[in-house]
Amino acid sequence: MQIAVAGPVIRGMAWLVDVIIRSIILIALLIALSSIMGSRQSDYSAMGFFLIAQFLLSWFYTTLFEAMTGSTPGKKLYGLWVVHDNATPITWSGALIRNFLRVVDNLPFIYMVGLITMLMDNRFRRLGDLAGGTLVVYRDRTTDSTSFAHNEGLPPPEWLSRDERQAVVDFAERSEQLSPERQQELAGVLSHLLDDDTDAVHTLKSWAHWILRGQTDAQSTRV
Amino acid sequence: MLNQRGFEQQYEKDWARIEATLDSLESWRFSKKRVADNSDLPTLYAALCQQHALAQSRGYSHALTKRLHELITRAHHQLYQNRGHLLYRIIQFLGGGFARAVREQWKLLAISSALFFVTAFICGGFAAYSVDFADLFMGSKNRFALETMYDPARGSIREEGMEDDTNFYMFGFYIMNNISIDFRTFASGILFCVGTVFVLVFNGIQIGAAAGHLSAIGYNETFWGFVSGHSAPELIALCISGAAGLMLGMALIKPGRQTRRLALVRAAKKAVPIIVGAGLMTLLAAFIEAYWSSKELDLSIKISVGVLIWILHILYLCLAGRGRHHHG
Repeated sequence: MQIAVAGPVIRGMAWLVDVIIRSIILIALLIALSSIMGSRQSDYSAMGFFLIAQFLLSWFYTTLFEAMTGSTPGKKLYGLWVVHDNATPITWSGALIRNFLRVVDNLPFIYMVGLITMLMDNRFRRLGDLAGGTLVVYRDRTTDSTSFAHNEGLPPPEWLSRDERQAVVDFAERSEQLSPERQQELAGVLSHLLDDDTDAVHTLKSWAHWILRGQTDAQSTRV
Repeated sequence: MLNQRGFEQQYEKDWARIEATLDSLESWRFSKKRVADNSDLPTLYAALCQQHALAQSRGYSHALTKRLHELITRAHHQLYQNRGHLLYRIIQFLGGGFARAVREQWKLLAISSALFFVTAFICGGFAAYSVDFADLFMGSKNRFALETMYDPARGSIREEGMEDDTNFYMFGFYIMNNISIDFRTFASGILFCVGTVFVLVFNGIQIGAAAGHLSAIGYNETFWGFVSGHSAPELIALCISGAAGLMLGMALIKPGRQTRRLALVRAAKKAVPIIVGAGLMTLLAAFIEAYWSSKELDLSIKISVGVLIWILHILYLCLAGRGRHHHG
């Protein structure tokens, strides 16, 4: 299984989003609490409540989100999530370790220790990730379609290598998402495989069709 | 060799089935989309991995291998997910899991307790002997503030007439302040124990000096009356947090026959129940401190309750979860 680990920049941006979200929550809470203030007792109780909210947000916001959904709202926005280093979902203890150790990664300010550790590690792990056995990785995006509209098959030249055949099919499958001009441009990259006077896009799609299905559907048999 | 379209046709049914199962498993627990039977997921998952490998080795298109890979990832996450009743686990934890985890680390707990209490007794002794030492340990400004706060002439250690109004505020303050100290004591252990040792010794100096000085000037009723109730959960939890921090540091200093990283991961995992329990103990301490400690009662009652709470804590840590060997 392959997973793509996320680097410091995108993680920093996700962190910033989470900081903003937490600030908004605290400000909203302050506004809500100010409405119940009035007597001396309710003033003090509101302050006590605010301190507890601040405590919970600073230690458990990231921990709870990661343990329950795999990523914080900020990470989700950037398509990141946290897994254990064997790609299994993060556990409560993993989430707790990696997030409690933020106080050390945050030394002496704005995650300097964490950044240095990440740059020294080949999987971009900060101290919390090293101790928790966790990785921050990219979530797989939704699959592209494997279909493309073309009904003519042409056998590709036999000297085409395996990688080249794969590239041809990938091109045809992606062509649905590309403008005709961009298709021309990309097909130009493979021009060394083609005769000069042919329509490159058309030829490549025909090859792809042949590679995927064989000459006719009837011929697709096991060898 | 089968071409790609033939391959897709052959297995499309399995993939659609796995996709439906995953959709339902990923949906909310009570959603209508949930299907009852997903017992064939492991078989389908194993087959899927094989099909993915085949697709890769045969050089099928990236879109196809990517689709299969995504299904594998999703199935992997469903199969290796932790499940278990949270409530059951909490009861298991409080009923003995926590105490067992702490007892297993009795050596480190002894070290962290020694760091704190020995420092506190030494500094307390010196501070009681001479005010100059008290000033050396905490600074004259802090000493004045402390003397004002615990002045028996004032009647109450909180502002006049405010006792009950401020209870909840103080509760919030103690949670924020004291539990955060526990968590920092734990986390800073990863710096080869240095952070943890610093926190323990620093708190030992401050608390010891305060206790020594206030006893020497005869503020026993106010000081010991206030601190006796919550002292057990708060100080024991600090030492337990220290032990959890030392676990991290010792894994790096003395990893044994494994890599430092692996030793750290294992130690951290073992430290989790310990630091969670320490946090809960400090929550209890905050509650006692906010609602009981500031009550004006006879010193003998306050001290007796304080001693009782100490005995209960020690009994709990020594005895809870003994004899039963199931793991929660």
